[in-house]
Amino acid sequence: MKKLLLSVILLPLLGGCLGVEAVKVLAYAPGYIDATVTIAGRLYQVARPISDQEEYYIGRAVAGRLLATYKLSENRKLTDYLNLVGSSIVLHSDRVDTFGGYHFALIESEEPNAFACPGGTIFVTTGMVKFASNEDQLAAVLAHEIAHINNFDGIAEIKKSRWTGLFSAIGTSAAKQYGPDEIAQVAGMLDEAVDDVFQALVVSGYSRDNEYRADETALTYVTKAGYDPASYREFLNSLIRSGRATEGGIIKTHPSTAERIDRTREKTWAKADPALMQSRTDRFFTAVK
Amino acid sequence: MFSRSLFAVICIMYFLAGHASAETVRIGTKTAAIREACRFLSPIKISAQYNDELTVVTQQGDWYRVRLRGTEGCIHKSSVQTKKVELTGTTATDKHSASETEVALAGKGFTPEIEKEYQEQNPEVRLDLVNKVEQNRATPLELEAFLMKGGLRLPE
Repeated sequence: MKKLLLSVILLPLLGGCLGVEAVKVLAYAPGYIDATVTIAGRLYQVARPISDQEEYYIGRAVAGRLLATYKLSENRKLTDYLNLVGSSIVLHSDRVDTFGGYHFALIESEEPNAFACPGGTIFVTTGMVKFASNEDQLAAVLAHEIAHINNFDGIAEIKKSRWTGLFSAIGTSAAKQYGPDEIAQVAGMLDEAVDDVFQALVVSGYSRDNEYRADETALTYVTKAGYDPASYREFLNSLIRSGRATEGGIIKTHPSTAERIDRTREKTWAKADPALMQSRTDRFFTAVK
Repeated sequence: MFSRSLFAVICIMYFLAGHASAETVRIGTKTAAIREACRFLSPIKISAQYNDELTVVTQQGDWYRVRLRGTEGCIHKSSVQTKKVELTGTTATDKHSASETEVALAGKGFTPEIEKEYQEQNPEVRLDLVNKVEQNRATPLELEAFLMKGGLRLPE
């Protein structure tokens, strides 16, 4: 909202100073990238949604950095199972198809954690799988990560200056293809953008509002899919009981897990069929054995 | 004779009007399935590639009934591009150059050639393993069986 107000105030002033006509305020929405850039001596206000392809390449690079830190698990049975649970949720998400699709993978770490890379690759630690008590809790974790992707939370972490640099570089030349100098320059910008996302994902965490929104979105997804929404709260509760609710990633300190539980309590959801839930729990234990 | 010619002219006009107004969409994902019916997990009739242009026959909720290379089928809205660049701050005389700039701004960005350069600049980043992770996916048949056994739902 602040950004919108600033644009309303500043853009006409900028336009007037630089002799630019027809400056208008552009709509902002999740996944929208915008910047004011000078191209061939003229000032432009550029706004467009990030393309699926751009999101994909940022996500691949973020995933590549995570895999430089964490060891990829070779447990085929559990990886296949993760992909089935995750895909069951994706079908009920706001973006069923992304440029490269959704892929779920297991990484070796005792720390219970999960990471969503923009575009659709989601990593879950072996510690997180051990921490979950049943399939419905694991589905809740995956739904939370899918929600971050659908809400473009990773992309939103990229500093505006990166887009200004990118638009200036690619707008200068009208050619559809990059020249050799542009390739090196834009690759450097990709590196900076990846660093912004990586910092949020692994080090600083998302904002309180983004976490609340991801919880809320995830609860909608699991409920639509037929999973037990109460499992989401149970999972957060068990994090508190374990004393591990103050670590990074999905269980980061802000917002506090207790606050997140309070928020999920605000809504009443239909209870899942206990017999079906038991059959899901049985196959969970078969997969994690 | 006159009525035959008139009929032919009307037919041609209808044909041209149909083509001129036919809505098209482009594929926004690497590959996309065009399915027999407008629902997930329906059998795939044909696969489309990124940027393929499809003719829209009708739109039903979140699904498009489309035609590609003579084959008609259904595609979900999340597989097609609906996005375009907005560029303001141009004057009427700048329209031509603005249009070229818009094309560049919309068409470039992060691409395979940028990723290749990025990998050279950052050899420690494990894109080789990311390629492996991207092989992980549940097949429609496996997913359908998994949903059924677990009492889970398909979207309505």
